[in-house]
Amino acid sequence: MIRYLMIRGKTITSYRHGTSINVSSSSKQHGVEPKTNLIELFIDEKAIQVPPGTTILKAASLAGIEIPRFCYHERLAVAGNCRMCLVEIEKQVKPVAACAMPVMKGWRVKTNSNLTQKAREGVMEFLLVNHPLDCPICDQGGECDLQDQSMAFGNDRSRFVDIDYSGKRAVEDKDIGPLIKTAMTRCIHCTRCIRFASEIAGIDDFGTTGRGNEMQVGMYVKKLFMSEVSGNIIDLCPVGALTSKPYAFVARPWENYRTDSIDVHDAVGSNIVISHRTGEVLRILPRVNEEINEEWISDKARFSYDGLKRQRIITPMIKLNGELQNVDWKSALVSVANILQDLSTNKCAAIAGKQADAESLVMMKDLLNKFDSELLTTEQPFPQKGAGVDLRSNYLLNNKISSIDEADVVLLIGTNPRYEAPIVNIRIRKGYLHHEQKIGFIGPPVNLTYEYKYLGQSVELISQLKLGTNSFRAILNNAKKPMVILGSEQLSRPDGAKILAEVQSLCKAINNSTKVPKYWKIMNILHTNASQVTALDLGYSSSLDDLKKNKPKILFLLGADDPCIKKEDFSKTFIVYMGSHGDYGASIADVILPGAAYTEKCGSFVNMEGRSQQTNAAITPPGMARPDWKIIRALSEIAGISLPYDNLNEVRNRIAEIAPHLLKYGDIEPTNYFSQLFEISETIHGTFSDNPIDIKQKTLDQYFMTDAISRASVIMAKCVQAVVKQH
Amino acid sequence: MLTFLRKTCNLSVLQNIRNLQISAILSSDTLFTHRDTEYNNPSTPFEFNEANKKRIEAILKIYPEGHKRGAMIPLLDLAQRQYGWLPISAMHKVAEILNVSNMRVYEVATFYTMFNRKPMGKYHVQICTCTPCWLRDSDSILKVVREETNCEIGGNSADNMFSVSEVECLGACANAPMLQVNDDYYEDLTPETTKAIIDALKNGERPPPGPQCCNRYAAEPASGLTSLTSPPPDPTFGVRSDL
Amino acid sequence: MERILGHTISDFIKAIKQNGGIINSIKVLHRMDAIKLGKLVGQDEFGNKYYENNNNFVCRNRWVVYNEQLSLNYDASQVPPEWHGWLHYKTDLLPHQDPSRKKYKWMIKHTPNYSGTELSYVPYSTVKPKIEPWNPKK
Repeated sequence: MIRYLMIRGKTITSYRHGTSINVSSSSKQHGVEPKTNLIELFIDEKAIQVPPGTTILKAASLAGIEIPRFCYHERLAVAGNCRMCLVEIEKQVKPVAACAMPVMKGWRVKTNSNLTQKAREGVMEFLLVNHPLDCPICDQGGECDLQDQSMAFGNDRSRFVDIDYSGKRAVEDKDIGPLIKTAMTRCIHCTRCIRFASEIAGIDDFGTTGRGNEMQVGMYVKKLFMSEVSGNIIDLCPVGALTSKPYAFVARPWENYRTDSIDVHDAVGSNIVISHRTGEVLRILPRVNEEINEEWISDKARFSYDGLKRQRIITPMIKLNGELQNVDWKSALVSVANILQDLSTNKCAAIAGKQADAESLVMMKDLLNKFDSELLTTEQPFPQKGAGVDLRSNYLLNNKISSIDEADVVLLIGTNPRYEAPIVNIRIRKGYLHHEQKIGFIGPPVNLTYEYKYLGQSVELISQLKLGTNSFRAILNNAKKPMVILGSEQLSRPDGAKILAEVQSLCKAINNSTKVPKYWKIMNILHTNASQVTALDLGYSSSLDDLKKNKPKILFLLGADDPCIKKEDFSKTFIVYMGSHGDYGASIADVILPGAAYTEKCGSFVNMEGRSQQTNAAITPPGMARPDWKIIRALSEIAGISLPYDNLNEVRNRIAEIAPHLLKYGDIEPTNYFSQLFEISETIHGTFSDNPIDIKQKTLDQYFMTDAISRASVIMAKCVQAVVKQH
Repeated sequence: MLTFLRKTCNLSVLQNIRNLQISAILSSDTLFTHRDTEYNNPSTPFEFNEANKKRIEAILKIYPEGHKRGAMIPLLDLAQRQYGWLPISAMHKVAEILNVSNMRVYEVATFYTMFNRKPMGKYHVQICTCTPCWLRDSDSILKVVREETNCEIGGNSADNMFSVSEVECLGACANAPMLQVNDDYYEDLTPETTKAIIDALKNGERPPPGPQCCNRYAAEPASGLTSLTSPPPDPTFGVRSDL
Repeated sequence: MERILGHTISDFIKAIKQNGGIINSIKVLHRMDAIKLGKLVGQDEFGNKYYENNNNFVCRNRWVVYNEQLSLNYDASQVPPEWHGWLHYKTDLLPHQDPSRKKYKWMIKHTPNYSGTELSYVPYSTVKPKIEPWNPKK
């Protein structure tokens, strides 16, 4: 109380004198900084100053006091319907819901008083009266908010004595698709799933039907929850009403081992936790990273893990008499090394697949360079005219994922972020909902979960925008923070270099006509492949056409499974496939070397914004499979040019020599040289082809199976089936 | 001998059967999820008629831009009055007009019990069984209605003339017991007057709504007024004469 | 020293004689950790020899010398059941002297414990393999 008066006295003096200079010394003395526009209140006798409009719950969390809650979630709108966060405020008659109540000056909040405890016990009792006692058979057991909070805040005895066996409230289960299992009797009506669906996912299909005791959460009609981020409602659900269908009755959370890792199904680099046990990946959960994925991950990242157990290459194979035969490592490596002997310049080549890690990419590059070859490319070609891979700003999402929602105008060119990078789409939707973002779209019409101005499908529109003949240009010109996002898929078109150059000059034109903040970058590229930026950073600067032209004697596919690599183009080439799954690439190979999937190796990946992150090995590679860089190391030894890296650290040191930023995990090196980039882009001449802009992933069924792992996954196949059936 | 007896007893009595816990008794006669039927599915034809389209326009004008979804209940009501009940296609239509997702309309339509999401008879007889009516023997009224209309609570009669439902307080407690037929209140009922009302409805007539027993106009005391018996004084009453 | 010498010097000399001289006795000592003097009472089908010397106290008066071909790889499970009984004082009758011992056709031959050898029993797995390998022929 004395302290309170002292602080009050101080603010009053500072106010009277119109300056805070004369109180600064005393404020330092007491460690409290008086700020004029902060509200001070006391939570459990702990003084705290918060900006006006802060809720009690938030203020309490700032003070380090946790208030129990079910319906409140930081990233969703406040609902205030579970009443678990009731707290007492001194001199107020009734307890108030802390999650919805903005703080007032001088309040004394008691989060542990008798009244508060009684209120919590009461709420808990009401919730449990209508909640089944099936914790032993519930998949949420062990990570259930209701369990935890009834332990911590509930009463220690029950008044629920159902002597007549009349039963508890029972609600029919809903079928909302192959990913989410529902047990609606367990639902406590927190409405988190409803709010997630309408706010984050943009699929406004969930709601509450009925009233009173009959109220239920559901979709009213029987239909599929058609979202690419649907799995997140499993994490959001505080009870076991929504659980994972593939993970049903598989394991208890406390018996799983957890390994922090990175998702490689898209170029976002969502942070994940791999739950595994007995050498098996049991499930994948998101990990909070405010800079990238907040706490959401896409369904492909979450549910395609069963693909890690199917279609695996577990032994080396050699094609004998037109058929692939299992062999041991030695003969496979020797047969590859034999081809590598006496090669002239540019006679060996490599294509990096979607999920190649930096370690194997750098090893592969060193190996090929030793054989005097620069024929290294990625599965999705990047135009090498102009700046190519020399300027990083040429191929990055320069403006960071976390600042997408700040933009006031976003122009999407030839990209469907909803399926190519669901996390990016969530960001754009966030901007659309909360920052009145305007979105323009060039490409085939798709459903992006938010409204956008459809400009058309023609490539010429980019030129029109540049020249200012399109009406959307005016919107871009008036923008304070405009963003142009170009889909990397368009860059693999024959006129990709021209598109890139034209978009760059469009960005330059926008930059000239509007005043953007210095840190703001207009030009952005949205990649779809996890390895793309890594490979470009490491100098995979050749192209598929170059490879075909040079007719290499040997071609390494580093997990490259894209059908654009045709056997006919490399008819006289010895193809070596190095990867984890038997997919398209393996079927055209002459030798297969079994590699590790992303859950089985420690690998560095750079996401689309240029942020380097690493996966950690959760389990060991199956059978005779080995981490890819070790295979290349062994191969180099047999081929007679030992690469001097014997362990992961030495490989990473080598990476640091080429691209030091690849080892600064979690950090972004800011991109620059934009004026030079724009200058170079103006040197590119060419014409657009007549083909309109097209996008591979237009509907949800095209989203689920895009790489070797998700193509091998049964769960993903079921999702595709369910979506096709819904149409 | 005794063992044999015991064994036969065991067989006939079926001992040792565990009591299984059953789910709660359904306390509402409606379902809060949609099941496609041949008369109620998303392709059931529904279109507002011209008169109603004009009314929709007028209703929408009341609500400011950005808050058009406030017109949801009036629109649903219009659809129900036009169609007799609310098929799911009508809800979709309303959602389309208001530019909201279907779910938001389902939520409203399932919340309010006066929206009927299944086919109704021509006359929807709603009998109040709340405490005041029940004390005035609404059970007998309910019995008469069920017998006369020949339909169960929550069901329709075979000829689709009547639907009977039991409802909570309709706010005419002074005139208990009462029932509501479509928009009309019939109050101060006895089994006889109830039967007369149902019979009249069967004959296609519309019996005069209001109290049925005595000469009550509305909710005044049945034995005549006890206050406000004289005409109200004129506006100058009690005012200083010099003003 | 007592184990080697036995009770008397004469017994010790007899034992060395019985075990085939000094060099052989050292070999036996290496293999069996003891040089014992006793009467050979029988031999089983595996070539194990059974001795008895009732001058020793009970528990040390009956022993087995395993087949020499086994070298050091002998263990107690190589004693067949009929000799096991005699060796462990379940009976004082030698197997061939025991009239109550049943001999049926269906009795299988004694096998020693194969644990740790190639012949050891390994239960087959009833669990589906965790990894489904890719089959290029499909």
